[in-house]
Amino acid sequence: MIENRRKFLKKSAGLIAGAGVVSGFISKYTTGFANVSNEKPASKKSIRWGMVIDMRKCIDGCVKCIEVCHVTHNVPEFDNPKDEIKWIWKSDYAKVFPSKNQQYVSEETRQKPFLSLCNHCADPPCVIVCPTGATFKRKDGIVEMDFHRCIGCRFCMSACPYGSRSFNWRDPRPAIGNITPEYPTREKGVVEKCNFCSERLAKGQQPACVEECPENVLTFGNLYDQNTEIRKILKENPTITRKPELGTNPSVFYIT
Amino acid sequence: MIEKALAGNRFYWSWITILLALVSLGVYSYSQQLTYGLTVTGMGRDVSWGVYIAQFTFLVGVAASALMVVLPYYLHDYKEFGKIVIIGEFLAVSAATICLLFVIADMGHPDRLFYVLLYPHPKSMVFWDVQVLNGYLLINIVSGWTVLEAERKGVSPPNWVKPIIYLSIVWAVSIHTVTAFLYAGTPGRHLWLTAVLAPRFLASAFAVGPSLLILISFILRKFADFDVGEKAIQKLTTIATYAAIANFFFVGAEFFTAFYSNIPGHKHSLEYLFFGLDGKYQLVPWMWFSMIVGITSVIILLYQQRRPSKKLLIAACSGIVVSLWIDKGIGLIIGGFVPSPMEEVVEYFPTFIEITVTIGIWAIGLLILTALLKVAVSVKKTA
Amino acid sequence: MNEKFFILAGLVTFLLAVSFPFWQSTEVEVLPQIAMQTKGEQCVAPVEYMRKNHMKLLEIWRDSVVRDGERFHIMPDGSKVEKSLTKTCLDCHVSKEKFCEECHSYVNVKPYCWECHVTPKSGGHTELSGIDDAEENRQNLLNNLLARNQPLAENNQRFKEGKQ
Repeated sequence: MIENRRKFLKKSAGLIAGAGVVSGFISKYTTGFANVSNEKPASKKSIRWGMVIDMRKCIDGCVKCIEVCHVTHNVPEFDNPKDEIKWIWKSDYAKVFPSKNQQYVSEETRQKPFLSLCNHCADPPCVIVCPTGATFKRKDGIVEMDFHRCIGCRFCMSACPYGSRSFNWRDPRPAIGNITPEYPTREKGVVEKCNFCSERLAKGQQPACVEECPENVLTFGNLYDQNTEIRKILKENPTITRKPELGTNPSVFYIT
Repeated sequence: MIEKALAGNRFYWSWITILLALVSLGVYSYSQQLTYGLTVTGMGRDVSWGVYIAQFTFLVGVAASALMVVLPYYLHDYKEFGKIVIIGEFLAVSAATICLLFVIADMGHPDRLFYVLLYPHPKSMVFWDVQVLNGYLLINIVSGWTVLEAERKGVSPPNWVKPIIYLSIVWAVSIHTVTAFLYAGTPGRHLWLTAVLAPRFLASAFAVGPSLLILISFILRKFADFDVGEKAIQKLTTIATYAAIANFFFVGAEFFTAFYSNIPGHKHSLEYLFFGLDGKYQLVPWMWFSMIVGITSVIILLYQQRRPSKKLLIAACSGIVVSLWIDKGIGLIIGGFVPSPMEEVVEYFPTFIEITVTIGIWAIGLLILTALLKVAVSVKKTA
Repeated sequence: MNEKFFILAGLVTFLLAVSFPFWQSTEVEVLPQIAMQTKGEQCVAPVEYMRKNHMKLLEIWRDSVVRDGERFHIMPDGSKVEKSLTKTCLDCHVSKEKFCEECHSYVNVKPYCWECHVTPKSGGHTELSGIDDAEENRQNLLNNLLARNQPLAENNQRFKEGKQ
């Protein structure tokens, strides 16, 4: 037994060390390098959808983008706040940008409610943690939900650093006002979030919120195409993203 | 051998009946949850994991702790553990089973359970957790049962069991490490995003497991007239003591990093748990209770080396279990969600349905454990 | 002797129970009457294939639309239709009750598509499936929006007027 034990301990030490080295490499290759490139990659992906939110133009009290999104996508409205589902909403600067400077922020910035939605990150943690691939990253950069595959484990909700995801804690249909027939409702037990109106993009339309905004606060376009309006705005204005230190590389930019 | 679980005295059957009653209540509550959705629980958009996942986290530790009896006995020939190894393995089996049940209870779409296997995503830690937990369950059932059966027949166990037992040693570490990685890899939750989480999980598991085994040994002594031996209990006490010390050291290290660095994200969750945040302090009494009871228990356990006292030992072991149940379950899981990624403090209260389902699943675990221990004890007494 | 009686009784009871569906039914068996389609000359696939495999086709369509983003099915004559149960299938096959449910209720199959996907009003789908209906789509959405939240609608009016 002594001989066996020594051999076993040697072998398992070697195995664990080897596994440690290998796992380091595996995680590097499976979770992606932190290469942040603004250039179009050499591969076939020629679109990366992105959005710029110009908060300077956003009117206090106006919620047209929220309403049209929630109506288009049959997002329910519950009485109980813990059951809440929201795809896009307004929140304070301190909550949307908690890692930014909070000292001597101008009163205007402090009071203004900032738009908050799924950032459709280029390196989304929610996609990595999903056990079934129900949330996945499309070739055009949109982080999409496959409601047919979601098992409702809510791991993605834990992983999202922005709190962009909502879960259907109950059957949503009774809480939807007028159902828009073109888009499905969801059922209880699945997670949902903003989908950059992928069903509208497929028909060559802009996302509903972008189209509905009366002040042109929202600009949507292909980040890989240098000639788009969104790239022009990004070039000419200082923009920030939410929690950039986490390496998620969001596709939603803010002008404050 | 299973027929041994069907023979018992009054106490045995009363115990089984109570457990079955609790299970029935749990089943009824779960049916409500299936009908109305998880809204019947206290979980919400901001605290999206609650009691179920807290139990899961705690129980994975209990399952992994079988390592603490298997390793000395099989690898280091520590013969004094001869009677307790099977108890440790069967504890692991029941804990692993109800781990899986808690995960299923927490799922929004339990009918899609097998999608985790049909659509594998190796990048996801949940995928690996399901694999390793099921594997561990299988390993322990097979190895425990085989060795026990060999003992009943009065022969030495077959050779093929040895590699499986060695595998279980490594596998035990992996199940709890994978569970820790589940939390430690998420970038948005600062309470979890720490390298010390995996070591801390293992330390607390190796404190809780032996403590539970000591308590079970006393119960078996009293009700089943089965003694695992003083030496075994003493050794388990030693293991639990130092594992608990390691655990509290890690907790201290967490506090240091958070408050010395003064980084708000790191501090906020601990502030909420121990001091209250934004006027919300629901968990503060729980956490301090956990710390005080835990550290006191460690001191008592240390003192056991000098002057052993059965009553104090039982108190200390119970204290360790309760303290770490609060710390790992409530503190870690709920604390990870507060404040939310948008810095909002939303509190969590489990509902009646949630609690009854939890108790029901615990009762299933205790049922499995009772039956298995009945078999083990019967075999060992006649062998 | 006692045992033989109970065993026999048990067996007979079991056989009766197991064959219950076959001898208990007193209804006249009514085969499903599927409503024939009222539009279009041909389905997206041959009838024989659809009879056996429509569920498989829908699954393939579902994954193709949601996961691959490929929303259009090429018909044999080259035209494109949307891969959509509600907008394409039920466009021709008109009524979910008269077409889908006739067979489904007969064989007691309960697909849960309609838990999420919205049943079109019988007599036709809603008009908004066309690729060119962007303006009508928008108008419908705005109507929904106005109907849903009256005070906000007044705000909207003000904004719209202010803008124009």
